[in-house]
Amino acid sequence: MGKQKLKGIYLITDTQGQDRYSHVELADAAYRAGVQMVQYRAKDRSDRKALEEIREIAGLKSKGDHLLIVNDRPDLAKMGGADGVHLGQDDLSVSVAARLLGEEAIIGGTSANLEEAKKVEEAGADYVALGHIFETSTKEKEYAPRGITTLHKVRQEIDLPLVAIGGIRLENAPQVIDAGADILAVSSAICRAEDPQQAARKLVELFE
Amino acid sequence: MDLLRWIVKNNRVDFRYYLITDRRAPSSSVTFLETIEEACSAGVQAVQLREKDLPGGLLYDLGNEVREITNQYDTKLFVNGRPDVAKAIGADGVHCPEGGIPPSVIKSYWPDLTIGVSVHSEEVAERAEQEEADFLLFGPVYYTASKVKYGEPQGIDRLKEIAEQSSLPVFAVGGITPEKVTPCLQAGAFGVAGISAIMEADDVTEKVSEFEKKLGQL
Repeated sequence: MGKQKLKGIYLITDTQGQDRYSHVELADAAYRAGVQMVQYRAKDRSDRKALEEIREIAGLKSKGDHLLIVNDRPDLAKMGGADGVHLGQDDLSVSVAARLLGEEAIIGGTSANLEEAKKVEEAGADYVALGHIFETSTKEKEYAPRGITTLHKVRQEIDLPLVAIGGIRLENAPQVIDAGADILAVSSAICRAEDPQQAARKLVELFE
Repeated sequence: MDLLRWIVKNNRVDFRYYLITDRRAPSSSVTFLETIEEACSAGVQAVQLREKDLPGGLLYDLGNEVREITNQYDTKLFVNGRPDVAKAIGADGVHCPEGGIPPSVIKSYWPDLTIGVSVHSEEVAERAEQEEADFLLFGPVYYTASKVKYGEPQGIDRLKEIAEQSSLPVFAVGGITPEKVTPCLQAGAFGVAGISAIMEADDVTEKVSEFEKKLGQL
């Protein structure tokens, strides 16, 4: 069974920038709106609680249409029934995660420049995320936004599905797609929207 | 639980001293890895790598170095909180905090991992047993700087209550010096655990030998 094509909107759930919706509610709204990928990212709770939530989200998605990726933790991804794991530069390596999760798992890696993006690709990841593209308040950042120019440059050199992340909203999304991103990762644009499902729907429509 | 299953289960826990690491503890003249090596060389049979602030990548790298040492001495290695890292470095087991992934879930994917669980109450001790933990770590029994956040020492009487209630081996932790070993064993502990007693010892080999005398075996 081959892996499906990765394209479209990628929601990273966030309950620290807002407290109206839980991770499970946000994932549900996104899947209903046609979002292909959801990343469970929660650094503020016990593994026991995280595992419960991951399992609940895994139960919501319909096979074939929806994917669930867990941030940082191959063990929680495997035991929670997720489809894969997203790894930062300080996390376990792509090859170790692949060994733990098996061939079928989707493994993505973070990069902040072309050099890191190439390393993620060479390590055998299934997608590479580049960011942050614009200013963002979801994560503390130690460096300046990468901008559309870097995204365009990385696109020329990377064959893997390319995820653009950081500060992406409905208004600036078209130029990110034009610069060659296959996938737009968003957090606050959906999580902090008045109506997350509707906000997700509008973003999904950019790819239709 | 039938007797045979109980025996098989308890064979996984064949150590009486459980050394918990803190890479910041050894004095500057000796490195962390040298301290672990000296403890293993002196006969310690089980080490828990507990470096909760390290991200996965660095924990994996450090874990591989510790695994190399523990393998040389046939010492069991446990990784705190990260079943994935434990599995990836070929550790013998994982040590779960109270809010960790349930042992039964870990075992359904990686049955070869031996699982210890930290408990601070009867409720969690009972839950851990139902969830197929292999042993428990209870504390803090005595005062210890590293466990201040868990509040006041629970004391030897609480240790006795937990040990009586649970059929799992219980290790006492928190301020355990060689002098405190006998009271803990009398209270029903299977063994004892500690960070500072050995990690900060001036003479690691001598300290391990003091624990061995009090415990009967390491």
